[in-house]
Amino acid sequence: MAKRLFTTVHEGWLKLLFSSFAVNDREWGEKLYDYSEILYRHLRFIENLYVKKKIEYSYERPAITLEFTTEGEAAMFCDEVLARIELQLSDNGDPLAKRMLSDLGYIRKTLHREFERNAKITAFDKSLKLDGIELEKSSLDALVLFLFEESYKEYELVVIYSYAQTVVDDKRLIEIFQIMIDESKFHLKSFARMMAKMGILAVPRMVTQEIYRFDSLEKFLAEGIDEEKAAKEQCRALAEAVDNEALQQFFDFINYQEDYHITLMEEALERIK
Amino acid sequence: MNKDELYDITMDHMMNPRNYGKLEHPDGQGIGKNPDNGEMVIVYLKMDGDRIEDIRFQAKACMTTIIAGSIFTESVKGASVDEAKEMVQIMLGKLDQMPPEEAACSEMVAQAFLAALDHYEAKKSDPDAIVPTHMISRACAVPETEETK
Repeated sequence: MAKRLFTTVHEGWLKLLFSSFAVNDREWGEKLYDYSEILYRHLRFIENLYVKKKIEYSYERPAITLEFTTEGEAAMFCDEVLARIELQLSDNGDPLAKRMLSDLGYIRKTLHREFERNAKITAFDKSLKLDGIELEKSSLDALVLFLFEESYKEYELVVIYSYAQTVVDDKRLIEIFQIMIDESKFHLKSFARMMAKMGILAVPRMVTQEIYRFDSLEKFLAEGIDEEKAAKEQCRALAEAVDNEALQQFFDFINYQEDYHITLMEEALERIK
Repeated sequence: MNKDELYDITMDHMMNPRNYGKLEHPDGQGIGKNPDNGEMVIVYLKMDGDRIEDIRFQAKACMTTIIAGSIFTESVKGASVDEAKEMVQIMLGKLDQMPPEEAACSEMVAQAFLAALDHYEAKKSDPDAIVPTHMISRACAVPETEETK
């Protein structure tokens, strides 16, 4: 039961999150994004409770396919999973369950009001067009591959650092991991919105336990630094490969953020040594 | 199949990889690993006699490996062991025509699958048989030499 609730809330977070990226009406999209953040917080509330009570849980989950063609269907797609969470919570009378049920009730009412939206979803049409930018075939291929690789990577980092926060006691380490979660969420949002505009939006594959659970924090951080350096290099190479000033500026901007991540992780590594 | 159709199929597997994940209590499980960079693929098999009833894979690897795993597992699901082994041989036979990084990714999937079949066979006589790991023979990228620098 516990494992199932955690998995369903995880699914709910991702369905709201990627629906928020998929819709073209950005005001509605931002509202969905805010709701997805509420679901993410539910996930973390449950996680902390389970850690405290030593209840087993997992970030592994079934694959999620985004199956909707209009904004109204996107609202129904999100509502379906929220209804399942409600059912799993209904027997539980504790304060967290009450809070979650209240949030879910409100969000579902809002979603119900949007069921009639008939604006078409273009986020999966594989148009490969981005804000009218003309890219050569090789640049376009590099960009597409980068977006798939990095959207997974950013989601993976959110999962890894969320889990990492539960296994450390040091306040500064928890703070550093929170910064990494927030930054990864921003990167994920940026990349996923580009994917939606290009018609190639998809929910990343699941992160397996073998990846997010680590035996040694020191090894995990050392490997993480290497991965950040690799991501930075990929970003720099892509900025060079795409023959477009606006895109180059965007990837340079992301690249400098990766620099700061490396500094933070080096600080974290120093603290545990 | 023309280039556009191929691109479309590849994109489809990128967006929605098939059979990604784990199988509970698999009949066979195997690992394909790249010793150079630590990338790996795990294949899980559920058998129905001689037939592959279900298959899953997971990877700590790049997107090219995910595409290869998705296409391969979709192809062998429902096939007999002999048919699947034949598909593996065809796949391995084509590696020389691929760019090095793509060849390494495909080989990793094929080796993980062969390791899972070995495990399935080994479990018939020893239920506690260790999950085998097959190392790939190809480097992910051509090593830099004075000529290629």
